[in-house]
Amino acid sequence: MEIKLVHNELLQETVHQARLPQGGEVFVLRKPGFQKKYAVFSTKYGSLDSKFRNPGTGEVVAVPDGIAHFLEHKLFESEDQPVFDRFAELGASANAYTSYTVTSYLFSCTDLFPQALATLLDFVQKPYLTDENVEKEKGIIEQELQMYADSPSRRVYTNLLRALYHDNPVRIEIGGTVESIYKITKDDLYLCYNTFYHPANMALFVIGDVDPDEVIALANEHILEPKRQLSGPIERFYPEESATVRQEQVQEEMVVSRPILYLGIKDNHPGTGVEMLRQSLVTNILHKMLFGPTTELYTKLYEAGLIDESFGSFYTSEPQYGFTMLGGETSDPKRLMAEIQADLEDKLTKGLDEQDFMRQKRQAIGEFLHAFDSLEFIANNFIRYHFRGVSLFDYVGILEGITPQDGEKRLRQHFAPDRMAASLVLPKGR
Amino acid sequence: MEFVSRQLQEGINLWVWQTEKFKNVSIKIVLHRHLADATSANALLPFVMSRGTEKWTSTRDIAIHMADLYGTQYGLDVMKIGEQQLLVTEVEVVNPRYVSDETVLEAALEAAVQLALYPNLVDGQFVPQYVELERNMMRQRIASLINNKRGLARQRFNETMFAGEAASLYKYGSPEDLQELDANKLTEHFRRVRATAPVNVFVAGDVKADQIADKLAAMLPRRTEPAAAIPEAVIKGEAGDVKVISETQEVSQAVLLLGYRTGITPKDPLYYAGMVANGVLGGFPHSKLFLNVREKASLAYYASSSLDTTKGVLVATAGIDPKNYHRAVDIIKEQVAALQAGQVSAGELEATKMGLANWMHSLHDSAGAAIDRTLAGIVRGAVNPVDDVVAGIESVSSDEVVAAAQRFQLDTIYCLTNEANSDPDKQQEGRG
Repeated sequence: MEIKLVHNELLQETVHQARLPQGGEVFVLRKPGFQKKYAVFSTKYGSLDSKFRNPGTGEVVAVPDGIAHFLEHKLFESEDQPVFDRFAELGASANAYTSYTVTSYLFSCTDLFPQALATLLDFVQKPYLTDENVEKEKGIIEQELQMYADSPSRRVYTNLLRALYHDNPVRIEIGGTVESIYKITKDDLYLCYNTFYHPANMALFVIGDVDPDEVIALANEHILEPKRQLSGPIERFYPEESATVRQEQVQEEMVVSRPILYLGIKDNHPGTGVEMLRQSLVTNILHKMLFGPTTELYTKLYEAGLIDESFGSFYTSEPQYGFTMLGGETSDPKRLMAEIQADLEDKLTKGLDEQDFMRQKRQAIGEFLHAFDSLEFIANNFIRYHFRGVSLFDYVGILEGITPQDGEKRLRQHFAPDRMAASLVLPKGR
Repeated sequence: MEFVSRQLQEGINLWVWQTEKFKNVSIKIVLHRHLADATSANALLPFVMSRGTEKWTSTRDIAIHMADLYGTQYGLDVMKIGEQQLLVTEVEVVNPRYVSDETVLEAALEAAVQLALYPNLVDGQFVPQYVELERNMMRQRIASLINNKRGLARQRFNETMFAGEAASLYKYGSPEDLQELDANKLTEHFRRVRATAPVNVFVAGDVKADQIADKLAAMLPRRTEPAAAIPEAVIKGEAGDVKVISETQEVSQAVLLLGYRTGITPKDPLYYAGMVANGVLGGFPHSKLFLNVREKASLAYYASSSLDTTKGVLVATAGIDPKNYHRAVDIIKEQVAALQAGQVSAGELEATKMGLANWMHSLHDSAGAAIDRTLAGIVRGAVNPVDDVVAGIESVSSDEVVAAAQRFQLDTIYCLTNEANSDPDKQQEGRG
């Protein structure tokens, strides 16, 4: 097994990586002086993947929404000792999360790292599902979904995705709905497990003061030989999505102190691989130039009492979707929306300030360095980018290569008024 | 691997942790106040001060300056620890080594000091228009607590459990007290705070303590008055009659909080035992609450407890279906009772100690977490080295855990629930 060393000059970091013979990629980043060791074991499988070809039968199947997240909960079940207790015995702290495209299992510890890593790899590869323990989980997940349902900022966000998208599953909550989770059965879960938890569809990232060669050897020892070989990539099916937004405006009443407004812009061409990353970095710079605290717009909105510290904006993309979102609490959503749209039109007419572009680019490089003090950030994002076919280490190089002309082009391409939707949460009974 | 402190002036201390681990340097300036002493005026200060400093006179100028400093991150806010209200300025700048620019550290230090202590005063006072706007913003901020159900429940719980104690106050103060404040009064208040509030400055990263001290000495205002003494938090070991309160809002999930008086503070011989007892009860996914409320009864997604040794209280919490109020309360009470009756297995004890040690060691892998731990220690009056805390935890016996748990006295049961379940006594059928 060949171990490749990839170094990044600006970050002054080196990652050791190897492809295991049984499939799957292992990455190790050594952090001398850190006490904590952190490991993430992930599968390229998220809430969007609810329609796929069963590799056993060749049949195309559709499973209930929220199943990837349900499975994430259930893998903590074990025939003998509960998984949390096995980590607890090692003084390690374990957790997991599911996104639209990735499911990750993780732990951190300061001692007994090899045992904890073996435990992580073991429990993820050894599902133990019974009708009874699947049933039991439904009450727990229902409470998780109800907790989100009571969060106005989360509701305004999911409502906006429902307004932007007609059919793309990104419009559905990662955890599904209370109705959909009650339909999930043990067999559904095993089907998803057997399809997506294949070593060739997975990756491990380890960070901390560890010996990379030892970690890779340990991973090789504990990641099992798959029962079947994958003949090609796992086939997933996503619905055709219309280029337009589904609804220009949606609103809901909740118990809130004042309205919350989020605006969204749909990106129909998020790209793939390096191109997707470049596009998202350009868009992030534009966000700072259009809506950030250094802009005249921000100052104007703040002085007018239209925004507060809850105001913010971001862009996110995966090969299956991409969107911009911005907004926050406001006393006058109509006026806020009008001001933002007028300012955007003005910028589209006048173009961008080159000096400001360079400033925001420099800030973006600084922010990346900031994030690199977090072991969790590095590990989770490395895997995310790896599954998209890019290295996190390429981030700064791509960022440095971006020019103001790229910004101008992207401004006109992405910030189009006809792909914009608004989501409002309004105070109940007003 | 710890912060080294020195006094810069009467009432102003510097805490430096020199480490090459991080790519950034974290700076935090904290002004300490008693929570009950002019709460609303204290709370408003950081927000008005973020509107401009002597050197960068507007919010936008500050933002541009920070963007130019390689995207230096900064923020001002109010924190509450025990019965202290903390006015906090945070600045995080990239280690000069990574950008080949030696001047960034001093520039960031200066920005932090400007934000924390040198506001933009026009004709000797805060700009009235900014004070007015920030006062409105603060009113909105306080009102928006209802958007966050867990935050709202926790504040209402505090007001119930700590009625008559400073700990009942919200860190942002009250709309009524805000009403009284104008630019003139706030400026006067600021002068008093700047002249007398105890100040702690934290710097963590690849720095030299002597250089930081010299630079700060030249930047800080010269004090002539002694620092104000802040009263210690009121600690009650006895609970009295249990207060049971349910309040309603339109919620899908009820937020349940059970508050226990423990009287356990760092001075207590059972201090470490208290930490372990909380861990066994509800600090981890292997703990009794997670296991029994969530895993066995499927009642909740979250179920945990936390120990506040500044105030000597333990709070257990869970998010539940409103109709399961009685079952959840019963299970939590049963689990506390089990612990008090000595039901602590060797496995639970060992796992909890290891989990706490893991957590303590990990704190030093984040500059922010290490600073906050030290800050909390200062407020509690005991900054113990990590190794001492870990040794203290490891030496706790199972008998001591039980003895600490026996000090947990139920004081308050608070539930934020929905209209249909507002009267818990009418849901007997839900008892399991």
